[in-house]
Amino acid sequence: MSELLSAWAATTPAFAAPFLLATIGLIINERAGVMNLGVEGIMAIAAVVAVIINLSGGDVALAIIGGVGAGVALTALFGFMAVVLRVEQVLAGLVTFALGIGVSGYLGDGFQNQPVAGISPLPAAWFARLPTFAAGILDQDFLTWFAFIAAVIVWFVLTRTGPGLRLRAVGEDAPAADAAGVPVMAYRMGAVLTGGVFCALAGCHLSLIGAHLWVDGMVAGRGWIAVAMVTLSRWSALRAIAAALLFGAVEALVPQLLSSGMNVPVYFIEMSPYLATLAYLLIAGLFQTGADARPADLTRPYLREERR
Amino acid sequence: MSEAVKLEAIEKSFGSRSALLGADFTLRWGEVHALLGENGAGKSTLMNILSGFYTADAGVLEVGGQGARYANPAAAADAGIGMIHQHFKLVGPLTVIENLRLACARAAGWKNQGAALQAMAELAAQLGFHLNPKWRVDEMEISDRQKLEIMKVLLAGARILIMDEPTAVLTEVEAKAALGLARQLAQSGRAVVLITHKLRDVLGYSDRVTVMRAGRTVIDAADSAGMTAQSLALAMVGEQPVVVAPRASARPQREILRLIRLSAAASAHGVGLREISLDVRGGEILGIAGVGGNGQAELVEALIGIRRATHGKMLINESLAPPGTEARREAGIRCIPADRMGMGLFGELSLGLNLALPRLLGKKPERRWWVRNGWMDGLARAAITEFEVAGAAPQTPARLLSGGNAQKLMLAREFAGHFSILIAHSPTRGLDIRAVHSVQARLRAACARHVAVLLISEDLDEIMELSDRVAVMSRGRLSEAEAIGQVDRGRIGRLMLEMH
Ligand SMILES: Nc1ncnc2c1ncn2[C@@H]1O[C@H](COP(=O)(O)OP(=O)(O)OP(=O)(O)O)[C@@H](O)[C@H]1O
Ligand SMILES: [Mg+2]
Repeated sequence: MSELLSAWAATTPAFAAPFLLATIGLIINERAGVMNLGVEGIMAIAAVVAVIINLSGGDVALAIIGGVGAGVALTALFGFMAVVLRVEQVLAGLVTFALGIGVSGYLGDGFQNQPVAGISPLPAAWFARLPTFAAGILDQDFLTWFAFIAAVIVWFVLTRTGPGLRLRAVGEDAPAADAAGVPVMAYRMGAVLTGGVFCALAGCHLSLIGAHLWVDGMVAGRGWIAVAMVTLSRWSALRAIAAALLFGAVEALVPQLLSSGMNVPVYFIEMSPYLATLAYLLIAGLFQTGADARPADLTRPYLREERR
Repeated sequence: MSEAVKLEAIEKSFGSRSALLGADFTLRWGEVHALLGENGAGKSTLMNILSGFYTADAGVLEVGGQGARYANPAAAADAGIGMIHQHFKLVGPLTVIENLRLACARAAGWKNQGAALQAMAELAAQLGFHLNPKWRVDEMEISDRQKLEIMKVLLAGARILIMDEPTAVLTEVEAKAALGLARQLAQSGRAVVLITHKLRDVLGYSDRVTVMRAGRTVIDAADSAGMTAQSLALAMVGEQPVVVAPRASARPQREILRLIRLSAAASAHGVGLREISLDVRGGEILGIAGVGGNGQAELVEALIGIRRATHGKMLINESLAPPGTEARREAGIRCIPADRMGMGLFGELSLGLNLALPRLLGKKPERRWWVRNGWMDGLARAAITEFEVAGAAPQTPARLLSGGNAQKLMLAREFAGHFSILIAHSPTRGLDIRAVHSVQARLRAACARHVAVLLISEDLDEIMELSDRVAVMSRGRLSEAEAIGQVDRGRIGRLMLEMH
């Protein structure tokens, strides 16, 4: 039993990391007033491009750079539609989602189910002196580590620094921010692109670390769950860590149960993240949390001379 | 005194609607310059151009003797222009100090929070303001928000201050303080623009006055000393303004609306109702005076059925008022809320839809299934002519109307059909004199139709002029109503304080 528990704890961070990366990406977006529903597509395109580069002989660094580049390119398209052209954000997001899924399927057609080297955990020797349980949890790959550290940094920047203050002002009340001299468009576009980097990293994490391969449809709704997790964590990158760990733990549980010989219906496995979302939403709804934290100008485009 | 600002032949249109058709304006250092005009005359638009919020289509803009053209508010702020907007430009969920850092850190050169706090404390002491830097702005009183706006523009280094209707939302005492501050700032060598609808403020506090009508300047920087309320009103409206018919002699009617020891809980930042008793007879206006935020909003909500009474009874025509807003409407209640766009109209919807909606409710809706555009447009056209809603077509979204015209639309909606009780909460706030007169005339007309009118207002002049009887609201309590002939302003002022 304790073995199962420690194996579960040790695999949880790597399952949590993609959720966390995507969620903090979206938090950056939404704090600036832009809702990006294209995240699922952005993750998919980043995942497939990273795998293709890795399979074609590029090393991990190159794979990540390529994956992020592809993800950001798609994000830039979304940003252009949502921020510059001020297309309805939900619509722009759905277009981005569909495009990302479509293009990733097309690109990855010849690369499906081929294992890649991907990213391995940090050397076990670094953690040798710690108790086994702690070493198991801490011995993760660098991208997982990055996810958790980045969450703290993003939280700090958003809540404690000048640029963070301006970004939040843009998301809460764009005209007031404009009157205060904040370039609203630039901040929104910057937030969208920065958020896109994190969403793309989430995709790279899925293919290079989670699965070590690409298969069509492998993002499997995790982007959508990240959209829900933003609300659950009430737009705070710190709370996002807790939410991601919860979802990571749910996802990590299933393989543990399977390997322990338990007979788990496949439908339950597929359902588990959604069940977790439902449970979390129910809890959040019951305790009436979150509503107050929603940026007031979320999804509301801004043009200076337009009457609001 | 040299010239601070010179605007010449400024033109501006929004889509097909032109707001300015060649407006002129000059401002000197060291003066308070009043800018006057009806709703929609273009006052805010002109000042928004000066402060870099809008860009002019044509015309000359000179600041400090040099040609200027600001691409954004930040550029104007760098040139020393600061505007306190009609609708405050503060970020709600942020704190006082965060708002100051947001707007002033660059101009004031603050490196950290400590520097910002110190600068704020110094200025607050100088102005005699008491604001806690940690307060969240959306939880602050309106007057405190205004103080924050004033500090914001001063800390950003403004030498030219534009105050767009600073007193519209303030009580008498607060308004006096704000106007006194405007004078003090002018004496320190700055230039102050004061947009207002209150002729008394113009005559009492400004050095010069500019009057605008329909996008043009009709009086260009005249000495305020040479003006009278009549001459200003005439210039603003272009004709002698109509005078509201004097109060008709009281005809005792039966009581239509009665509250018996009614109590209700407070709203988020408000005051609860504590055993309110009142009765309003048909054909009379009962005025409720008092400083805003003393339970007036809660009273309105309780009357129209949004807020549940915790104790007491409400009677309409001697029978218990039904619960729920729809049923109350059917029982004959109509309401003009203080927050026209928030609780009254649907900003995004057309005039026609705004007017149609209440007619589709109740047990006998005018249209049950099929709601034709033609029918709604007809309603809108009728309202536009009967209530003189200017600058709008049936399909115009309500949010594009100016304050006065939005209020006329509100009246048109609420006056439809048969009703016996009218609740009007600050019905003339922010309106120009002509609109004020037309709203007041409507209230009188309702009264003449034997409607029971409840007028809740912070404007004591309005209460004294319109009401037959007056009661004072304070800390959620209501004083005994007294006939208007038997009270004076002094007594009402004492009542406002005594009941605390
Ligand atoms: N951003 C905008 N988009 C469309 N129309 C506008 C906009 N701003 C102002 N207008 C229109 O321009 C005209 C002038 O408006 P403005 O706000 O300058 O009037 P005002 O004199 O300040 O009136 P008030 O006393 O009601 O504040 C009005 O008809 C108004 O509806
Ligand atoms: Mg205005």
